[in-house]
Amino acid sequence: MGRTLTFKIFRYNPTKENDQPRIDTYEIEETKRLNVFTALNILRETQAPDLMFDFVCRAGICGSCSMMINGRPTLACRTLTSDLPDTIELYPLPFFKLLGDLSVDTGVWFHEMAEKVESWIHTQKEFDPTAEEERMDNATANKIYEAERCIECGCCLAGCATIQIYPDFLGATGLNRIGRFLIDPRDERGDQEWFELVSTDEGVFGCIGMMACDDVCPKDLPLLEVFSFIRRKLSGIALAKDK
Amino acid sequence: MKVITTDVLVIGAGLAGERAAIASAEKDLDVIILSLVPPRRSHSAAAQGGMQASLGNSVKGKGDNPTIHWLDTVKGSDWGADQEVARIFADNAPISMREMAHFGVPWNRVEGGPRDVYIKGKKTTIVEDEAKEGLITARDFGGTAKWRTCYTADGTGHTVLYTMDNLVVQHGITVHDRMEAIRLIHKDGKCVGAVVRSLRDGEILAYMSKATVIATGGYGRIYGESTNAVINEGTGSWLALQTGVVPLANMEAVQFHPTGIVPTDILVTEGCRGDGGLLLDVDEYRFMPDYEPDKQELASRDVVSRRMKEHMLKGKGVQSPYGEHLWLDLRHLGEEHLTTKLREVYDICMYFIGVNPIKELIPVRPTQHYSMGGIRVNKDGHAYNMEGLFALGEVACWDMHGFNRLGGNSLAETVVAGMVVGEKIADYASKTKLLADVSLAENTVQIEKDKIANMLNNTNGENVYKLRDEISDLLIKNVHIFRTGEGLEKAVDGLRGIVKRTENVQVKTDAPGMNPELSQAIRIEGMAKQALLIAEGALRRTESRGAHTREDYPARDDANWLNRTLARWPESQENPVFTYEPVGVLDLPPGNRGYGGGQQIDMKESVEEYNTNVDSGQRAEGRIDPSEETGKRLPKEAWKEVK
Amino acid sequence: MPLNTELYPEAESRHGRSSEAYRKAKKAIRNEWISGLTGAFLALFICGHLVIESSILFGKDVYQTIAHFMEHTVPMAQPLIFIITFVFFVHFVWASRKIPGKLHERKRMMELGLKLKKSKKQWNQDPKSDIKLRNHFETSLWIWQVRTGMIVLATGAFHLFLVMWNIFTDMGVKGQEIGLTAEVATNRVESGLWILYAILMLAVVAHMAIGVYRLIVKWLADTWFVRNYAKAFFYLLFWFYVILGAAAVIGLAGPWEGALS
Ligand SMILES: Cc1cc2nc3c(=O)[nH]c(=O)nc-3n(C[C@H](O)[C@H](O)[C@H](O)COP(=O)(O)OP(=O)(O)OC[C@H]3O[C@@H](n4cnc5c(N)ncnc54)[C@H](O)[C@@H]3O)c2cc1C
Ligand code: HEM
Ligand code: HEM
Ligand code: SF4
Ligand code: F3S
Ligand code: FES
Repeated sequence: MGRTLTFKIFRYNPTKENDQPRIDTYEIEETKRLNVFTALNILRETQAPDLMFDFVCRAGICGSCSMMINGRPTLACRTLTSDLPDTIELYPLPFFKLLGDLSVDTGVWFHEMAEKVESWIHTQKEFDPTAEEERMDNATANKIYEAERCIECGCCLAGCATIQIYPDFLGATGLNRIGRFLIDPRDERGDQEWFELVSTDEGVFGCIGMMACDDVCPKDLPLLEVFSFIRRKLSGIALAKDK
Repeated sequence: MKVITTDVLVIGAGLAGERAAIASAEKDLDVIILSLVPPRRSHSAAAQGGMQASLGNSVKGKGDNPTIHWLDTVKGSDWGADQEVARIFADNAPISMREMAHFGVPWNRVEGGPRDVYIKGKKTTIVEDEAKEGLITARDFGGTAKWRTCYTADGTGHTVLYTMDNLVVQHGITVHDRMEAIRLIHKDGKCVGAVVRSLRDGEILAYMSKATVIATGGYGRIYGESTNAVINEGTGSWLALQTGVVPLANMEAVQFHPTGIVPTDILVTEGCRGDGGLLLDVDEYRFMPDYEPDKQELASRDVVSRRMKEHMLKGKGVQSPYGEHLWLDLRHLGEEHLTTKLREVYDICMYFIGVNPIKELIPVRPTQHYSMGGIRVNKDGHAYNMEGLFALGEVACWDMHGFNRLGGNSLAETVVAGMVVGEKIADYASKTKLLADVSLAENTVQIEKDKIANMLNNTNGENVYKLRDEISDLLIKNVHIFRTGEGLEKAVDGLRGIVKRTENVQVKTDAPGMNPELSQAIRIEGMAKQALLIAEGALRRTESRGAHTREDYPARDDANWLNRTLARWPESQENPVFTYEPVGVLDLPPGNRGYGGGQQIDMKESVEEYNTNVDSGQRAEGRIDPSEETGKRLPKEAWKEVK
Repeated sequence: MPLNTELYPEAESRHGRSSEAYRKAKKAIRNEWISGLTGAFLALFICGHLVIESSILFGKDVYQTIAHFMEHTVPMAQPLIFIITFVFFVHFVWASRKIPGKLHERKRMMELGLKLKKSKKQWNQDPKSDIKLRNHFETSLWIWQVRTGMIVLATGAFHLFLVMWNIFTDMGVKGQEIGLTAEVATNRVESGLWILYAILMLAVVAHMAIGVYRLIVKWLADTWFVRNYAKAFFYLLFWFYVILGAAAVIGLAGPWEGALS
């Protein structure tokens, strides 16, 4: 303990006239179990009152606080400074629109993604308040939950070189979302609809297997497994005899 | 000035706000949702444990029905709840859970056949009914007679909120995120919209609507040490208090959750204990059965928290550099359980405190968690004294929780209220004309602009972060689990001073845009004033009820205090005004909860006499008459059929 | 709740499998199959090819026997050359679809670049700290796959040209046999082409190993063949064939020919 940490933080306020992107340097004494959430708040309260960043749950469950910490996209609230060297470089996530300093606009992208993949159960059934719920195998429920655990932090997009070049790509999180509905028996979208939605270069074939998404996902989602599943599922559909 | 008009303005994109918005959208009304953060980041996403609904599918929930759920809820509330509202809730909870299943929540399901579980510290084999295979299952939670808490692993809030937001996208509902409502636009007891500050570029604009809905969640951050998200700073309840006429109710009823981890105050769910987790003291001795032989670790939260504190006061706490704590033991549940059904908990322990719950004990202590109190509304969710203003979710005091809410009842409340109150909001908005009084909006916006200018121009004012810390310090020291008249007086005095000082806040930078320091400064007045309401309400209430425990008044006093605190802060007055109203129509007469010990002082009048005064008492406080007569939804004495 | 959920009018089933969207999607998956299958086929070929080439290490006679066997006893070498050449180019055309060198993608890149420059609300990461991200192992691997692919395109095409030339003409070093002999091969390598072969070998082995790794991850990650195994397999493939290939090139180049005989 007792290290002095140097924070090199990307600063830029797009709403301020003539503001230029720059790196500001701050120093702070490390305390036991200090994490980047606490450190940034201390910085804001003592040294940089206008420093912008986002935290909500500060418990690693809401996905607000992803940023580039020493070059790696990850959740700031659960990053302990003790796992980092003396100098800590903080950048906002690339790919997303910058709102200021470390804060980026993930909300709009994820909203559009949800629209694109029609991220909801498609069913003709009406809800009947008096009826028993539709039954579902617990194993299926668990599988859906596994994919549903994505917290929309955007780390997988920040890490994926493909999407930086080809922004129409749905990204790992988008494909994961499709996978989630694909395995959901309540969703009545047929093979053909899935096929048209995801068998595209914006969809699963946009992914060229960089695997960074899987490496940086703070929730350890089995992203690669989802892609494989989708690919094979699509192959099955494409090979099925024309009706 | 930009003015945006809509039929229904929903402030808050948590579960409560989104569900209500959907109800209006289904009726083809224009809806705009405002939120401080993208909707899926709302604090509802952080709820882990589950939602109560008496589906009775699990074998340990067999025979469950809304009446038993209602009984548990009323007892849990220590009779502070409005029993009719609790009934509306209990009746609709199963419908809501099924509806959420229909919309896509991957609830955990019943798997027929035997399985091993931990009940009261003992490994037991239960046999799930094969005929129920595939229906929504439930886990055990505190203060309940049956296993009733529906869950998806320990990501319940997350999955339900994501499903809800999917619906919002499906309905094409407009969501403006990173927008903070800072003042209501109202005139002559009618609310017509809100003044909103953009957290993207700092612009101040006006939204005008037929119905305005506050669903902004809890205020835990006023306490500083809290399990709540950092955005839960009480901005929504402040909107109501600011009007001067809408009362906040039962603000002294603050819940402390038994298992906040030390030192980060992150919550580990009640599901840990529901699934068999044990509380241990410094000698690794399991102390809860000594205090609560029947319910043990699964008494209601107020009781467990109190017992933990009591035990620590006996010198049985574990000393650490971060203060005293106890242990939560999950080791016996095994790796498989901890990395699937309690995976979030596992992650939190590993990442934040470096503790592996498979092999090690988790340091926990009671931590501020939930506010039973909030904006007082009638059973339709309509705010007192303010037509066109609705509130629901944690920010509201619809009042099914009284002085203590049961775990799993609040997440369930958000969707049930969203459904029930949502309907009423849609009805109201359909019948109402938009009052686009632009000059009224302009004037209201100007008030906020002036305030902000003052803060920016101030050269020798108060530091907002210091004020914030002082507030939380006073609350943590004096308005915690155990309260005394002396401590509370100290808190009230201190907070009065701080409220004055909030008028003289200085913001150091005038950076345009989000300006985080300015955002904090805008909120500080509301935080200070609500803190004072909490402390003063607690000081005035000379009894112990639910989570409100006075060491100098240990008995629950139904003779004098079977009522609800209402606090208003009339405009330009120095001090708040406190009044009291009947809790609502009683069906289950006040009695013993069956856990928690403690004495009771009986009611003076009979239940019938009490009930005759409910309507007049509440009307006198400004209640807008609900669409149905009071008590209509409360079946008389149904509880007598429950053994 | 009756809702219009169809943002994709083409997706309605009455359009069936002849709908525009369906055809597009089918084309996309066909493209993916073609690049993957041709890659896999070429990889299989190289695996065998290098093993056979390394038979030179057992001496020219062994090599000669195998070559003779394959060209004359079972006349498969000649057709194979055409097949390989064909597949080679098909693979090149279909695989390079993913290289951001295609016109529409380069345009996008330009657009993005311009947008970044113009709009202050977008920003690009400081290249200095970008390094770590780009250092992500599998991302670098992909970049190397593209690079080695280019090298293989040049050197491999040349190699194939030589081999094909060989088939039709008797290079006549000894004048006895038409087609490939140990003599032809070694002479060619000895005469200075070994540099080319060394480069080709390294590039091909790297490209193949990376390609196989990614193929497995792309199609099989949710089976028992998980990513960790695939990665181990990648190392195994790479090092085994680098060593084998190096030995073969050296063997062909002369100094230790027949080292194992
Ligand atoms: C850690 C934790 C775990 C919990 N676990 C459980 C559980 O297992 N079971 C259970 O029943 N309950 C649980 N609860 C309680 C429950 O989660 C909350 O009471 C509930 O989610 C509140 O939902 P809400 O919709 O009222 O508000 P929230 O979900 O908090 O949403 C508030 C919304 O309002 C917005 N907002 C706030 N202020 C403004 C403003 N001024 N202008 C515009 N927008 C604004 C926010 O951006 C947000 O979108 C838990 C609570 C915590 C803290
Ligand atoms: C003409 C020269 C070549 C070029 C330009 C080339 C280029 C590429 C490229 C860019 C890819 C990536 C495609 C993608 O990710 O979808 C690729 C994949 C691959 N290549 Fe090649 N390649 C060449 C020759 C070869 C040869 C000779 C082999 C055999 C060893 C080979 C085997 C593979 C394999 C196995 C893949 C993986 C396919 C996939 O991921 O879908 N390639 N190639
Ligand atoms: C690893 C690097 C390689 C080495 C060292 C190598 C070496 C050789 C040698 C020595 C020959 C004998 C004939 C001659 O040289 O004229 C040969 C033949 C051949 N090579 Fe390669 N080669 C390599 C890569 C490739 C590649 C990438 C391809 C095409 C995909 C290829 C296709 C062929 C074919 C088709 C023949 C003819 C085979 C036959 O006639 O039996 N080789 N190679
Ligand atoms: S998939 Fe993982 S990295 Fe990507 S947004 Fe979801 S949680 Fe974040
Ligand atoms: S990093 Fe990108 S290319 Fe695919 S495997 Fe992940 S999405
Ligand atoms: S603040 Fe919620 S994940 Fe970090």
